[in-house]
Amino acid sequence: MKNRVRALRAEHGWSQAALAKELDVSRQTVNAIENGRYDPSLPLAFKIARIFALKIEEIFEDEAGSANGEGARDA
Amino acid sequence: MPEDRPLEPPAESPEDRKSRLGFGACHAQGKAPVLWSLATAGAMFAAVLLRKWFEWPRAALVVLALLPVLPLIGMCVAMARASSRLDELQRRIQLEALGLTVLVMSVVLVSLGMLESFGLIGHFDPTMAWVLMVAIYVISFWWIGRKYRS
Repeated sequence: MKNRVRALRAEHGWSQAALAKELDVSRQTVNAIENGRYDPSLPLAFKIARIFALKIEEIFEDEAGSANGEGARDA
Repeated sequence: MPEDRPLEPPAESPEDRKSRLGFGACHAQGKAPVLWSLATAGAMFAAVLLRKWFEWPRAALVVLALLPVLPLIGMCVAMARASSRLDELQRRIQLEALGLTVLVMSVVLVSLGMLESFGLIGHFDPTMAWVLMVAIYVISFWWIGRKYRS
């Protein structure tokens, strides 16, 4: 799953530690989410969406779903 | 949170400071279970050495034999306290590490048990299994945590 967390965090000028504190998780977790090494749970994804005042689908993108969508459009 | 109100770097609360610098620092950083584990291992070796060096009445021998149980209980409490503070990724890493530890320990214990029952190795002290288990868990936790780090 791809996500825009790093870009959104940079736009707001927040550090990973500050975002981690807001989300009540460790900085390691924020880092893993940003690098795509860990997909957050639904409650945490909602929390991230709330903090950035966006919808979940505006932050997270299902790579498999988007690949299928492109394939369907190409066909 | 609106975009025009950037998040301020969080100010350090007295609890944070106490956790960083005070007696709670070990718990906050998840080091307490490791320290208790080391204390347990130390108590085990100390008890064995003290038994060899001195003559003990039977009642004192019971106390000496059960000496490592005290830090072991401390380790259990510290593990429970540390686990309750973990976030979802850290819990996932812990769960995977525990699973891997169970698998590795199964292979090691069955192998040692069979070798011992066939008389190919000497007696395997069951308390050493605990030391081995902690060592495997620590290595598993570090190794599994690596895949989530950049």
